[in-house]
Amino acid sequence: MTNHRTPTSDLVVSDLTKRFGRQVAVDHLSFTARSGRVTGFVGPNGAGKTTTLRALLGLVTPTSGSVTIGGVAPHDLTAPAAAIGAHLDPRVGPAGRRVGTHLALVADLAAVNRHRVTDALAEVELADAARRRIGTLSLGMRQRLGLAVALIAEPQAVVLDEPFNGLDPGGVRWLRERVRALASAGRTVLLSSHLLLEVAQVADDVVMIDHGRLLAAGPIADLGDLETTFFDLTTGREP
Amino acid sequence: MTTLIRTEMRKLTSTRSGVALALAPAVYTVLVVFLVRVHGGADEVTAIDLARGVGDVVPLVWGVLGALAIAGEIRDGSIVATLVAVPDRRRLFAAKAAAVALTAVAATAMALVAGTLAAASLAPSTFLDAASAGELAQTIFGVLAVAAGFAAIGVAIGAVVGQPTAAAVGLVLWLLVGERAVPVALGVNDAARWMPGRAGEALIDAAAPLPESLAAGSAAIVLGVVVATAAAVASEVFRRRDVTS
Repeated sequence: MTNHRTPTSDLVVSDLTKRFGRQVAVDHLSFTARSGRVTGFVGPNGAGKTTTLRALLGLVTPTSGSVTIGGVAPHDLTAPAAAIGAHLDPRVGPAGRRVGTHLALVADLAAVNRHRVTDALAEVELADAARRRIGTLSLGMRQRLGLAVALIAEPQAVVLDEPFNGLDPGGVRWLRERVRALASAGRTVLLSSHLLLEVAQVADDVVMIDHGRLLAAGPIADLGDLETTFFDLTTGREP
Repeated sequence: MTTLIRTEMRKLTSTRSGVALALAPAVYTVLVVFLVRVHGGADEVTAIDLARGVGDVVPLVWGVLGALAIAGEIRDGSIVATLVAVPDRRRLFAAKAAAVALTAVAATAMALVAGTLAAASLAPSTFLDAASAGELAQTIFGVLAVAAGFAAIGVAIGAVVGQPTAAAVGLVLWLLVGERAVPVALGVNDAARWMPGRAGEALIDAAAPLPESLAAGSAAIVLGVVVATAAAVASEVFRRRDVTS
């Protein structure tokens, strides 16, 4: 987890548009999340954040435009699990499956040695929960398990959607430190959150969108007070 | 591909509900044998009867397990980790279909063995020599082929529908009601025997076919065409599907 990565893990969104029927979810959006930095991805509910993240992961097909991971389209990655990991959904997996089993299955899919299961569980402080079923975990523990899934193959880039939800204050601090550590190790971290204060504390760069369109992007230091900027640009809509 | 199929097979039995479904045909078969015995009819249970009894439930059980294998993963969100690791969706679909089909064949064979042991222990004098080896082999082959075919059809339906309850209920309703009701409603009663479930029955009953059933060869072709078509359509739908939840 301490290896420095090459700058080839940039996540690049270029003129991305995604329509669902007549609804435009993402509208000609462009930005870059750079390696070695944490990029906060913020916007009101329904702004198109999750759709953008899913396009980056190849889960939804762009109507137009493109996304690349280290210069390669998601479906063309030769070692996808080593290139990008993701935690989008606190449901994580079937309620009846054991935590260790779930992670072992993900490790097998990612062609990762099974010893990583123990390591990944230890990294997210869930080693004692390996025998528990996913359905018995608290929301905070499921968020940790989701992070373990994202990190199982030690990917060069990590995409996290609302990872702070459900975490207690200790968990929030822990996640903040984990995210910073990932960036310090040279990884690209793209983190979507509606918790602006958390984003302000953890991010190096911010991408702000609304109605699927880019409002602002750049180093967080250049945006001034994030909350003020957010409400100025989104005319007061809730994040 | 082998590793992927093996992983998908392990997924199927990684939950209690998956294990319960996989064991259902064996439990059902043994239970039926004991019930027949309790009602004094064990002497009339032949090995072919037993295989046909297993054949009655395999389309439903493996069709539902197949549908849940893929639609359940979409519902519980674990499809994200799967697709991030395996972005080639056609390959993933093929692996899932193969995994469910292989599991179906193995668990169906286990049901046949369990039922055979139960029946042979209850009525050894009549059970083991009540059928010719050729007819029995033909029936067992039909049951295993139907198990594999409906497992693949289930995966295809799950991939197209994407919602486990709707996929499973739709499949069950079609097999129990649709295959008989639709031809009647359309005024083409003779078409019923060309339906996949009825073709499966014909394949299982090949040793002693009913007059209204397709011949075994035709039934195998019908089932094969249905499986191939469903797999081709579903693979393409799954490839294009936006995973949004």
